[in-house]
Amino acid sequence: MPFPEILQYGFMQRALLAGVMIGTIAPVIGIFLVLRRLSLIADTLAHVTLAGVAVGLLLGMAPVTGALLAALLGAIGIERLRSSGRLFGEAALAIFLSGGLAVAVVVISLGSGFTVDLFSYLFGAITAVGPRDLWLILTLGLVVLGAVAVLYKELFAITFDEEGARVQGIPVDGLNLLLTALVAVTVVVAMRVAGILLTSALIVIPAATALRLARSFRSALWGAVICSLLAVLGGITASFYLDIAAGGAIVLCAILLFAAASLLPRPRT
Amino acid sequence: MRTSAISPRVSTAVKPPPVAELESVSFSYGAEQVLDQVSLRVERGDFLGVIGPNGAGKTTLLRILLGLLRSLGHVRLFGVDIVAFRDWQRIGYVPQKAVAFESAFPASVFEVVISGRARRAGLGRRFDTHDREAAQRALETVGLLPYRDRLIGRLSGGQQQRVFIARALANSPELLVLDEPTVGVDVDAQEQFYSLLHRLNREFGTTLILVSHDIGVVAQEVTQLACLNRTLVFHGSPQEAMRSGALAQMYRAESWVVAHRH
Repeated sequence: MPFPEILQYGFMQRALLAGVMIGTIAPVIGIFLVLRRLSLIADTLAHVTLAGVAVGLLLGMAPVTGALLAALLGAIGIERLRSSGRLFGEAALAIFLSGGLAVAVVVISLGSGFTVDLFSYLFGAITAVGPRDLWLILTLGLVVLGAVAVLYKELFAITFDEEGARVQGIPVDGLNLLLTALVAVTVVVAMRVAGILLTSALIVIPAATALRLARSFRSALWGAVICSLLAVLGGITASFYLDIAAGGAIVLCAILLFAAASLLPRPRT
Repeated sequence: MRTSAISPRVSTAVKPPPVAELESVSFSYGAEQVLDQVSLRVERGDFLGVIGPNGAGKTTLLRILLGLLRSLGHVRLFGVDIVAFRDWQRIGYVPQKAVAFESAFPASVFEVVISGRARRAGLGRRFDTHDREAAQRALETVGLLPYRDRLIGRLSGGQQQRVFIARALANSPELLVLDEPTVGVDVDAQEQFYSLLHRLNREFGTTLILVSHDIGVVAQEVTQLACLNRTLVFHGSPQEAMRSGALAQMYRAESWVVAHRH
């Protein structure tokens, strides 16, 4: 049996592999963020990452390096500002979000000629994922999945009842910082596929869909991953055959699934 | 090194240190002093009710005891200064139901109960058969085994409260601390709840500290009463509290707060 056309090209194979990895880690992280009312953190870090990409392009280093540095520094900064208690969580996020965007815009105006490059990071360029990009995506993705697998019960405990977890003696502050760092890595990994502007959608929407239908925490996690993979594969396929932007198509698929789930009755048990 | 740091489970010959000990504990939020020189001992097997009007510092006292707030003075748990205390699995905490979680949280009853053993199981380890059996037993104790796979948000307020007790019990704690546990729980469920606490106290020998503003009910249920109103107004048995007039004074303080508010 011949391969379907979509699988005959190396760039599409890489796009699908990258998509599957991102489609797996984004909703896993998303479940924890949505339940902790920190959905905005993903968007914030995406904008901070944009600043990193711009600086990276300006200095001539790999954009991913700049992105990863910026995202991790942003994660630490946000967590510091949030846990100091001097600002409400949302206000700290808003400062970093607009600050990241501001730095990006200023740096872009300083340099010239990399506007097109930056555009691909804004809206995603999944078909431009090279072999080296793919390895980076797979490696970072496995780091995120491994961390969540190893610390699953602790992450559940702090998500369900942070104070209760603290009383138990679970290192809540360290885990909060780690979770934010994992969000940062996820954003960096996802930006090649969905684009920085749509990355938070991939983190938040499948999680929100699964939360409507879940009967346990574990089933919420698996449900989110399934919703997300359906959206990623559907979006990439649609983009290939209809010649539309992959990032946007993926997010629209995710929203369609969310709408469909909203029509289903909630579980009663 | 403190001699009292020796585990009482090992040395039965020596009288075990008090489960919890506060010595001249004071605490202020900014300029507002919430606790003033409070000293209190909780002995093994006590069922202590901490009562007082709103704003008396009850919740602050509890948060200090759980290591969530640092205060002036000394706090010792099982004879160990709280700064050095690491044995948190010996203490179970049942939070106010209303603030503990979101009713739409997608967690089954069993997932919530076994999460009480997260620390004991160890960082980075998975729950094993032992953990699952302990969670199962805890659910049995509170009478909710048939509900183990239900979403916690679908349970009644009284049942949810018992899930939180089971989460604390999954660790077999020696001390159970409860913060306003019956807020938003109907009267029948309250009765069931207190009979469960009595069983824990008498059959399992669990030391209990219960914080409540519900003076009347608590005074009936506990063996020791601490009346708090910024300072420790009274500490002793409920009968003595009645005789000394401390209880009446608490009632007046409470009704004053209520009258003042309306």
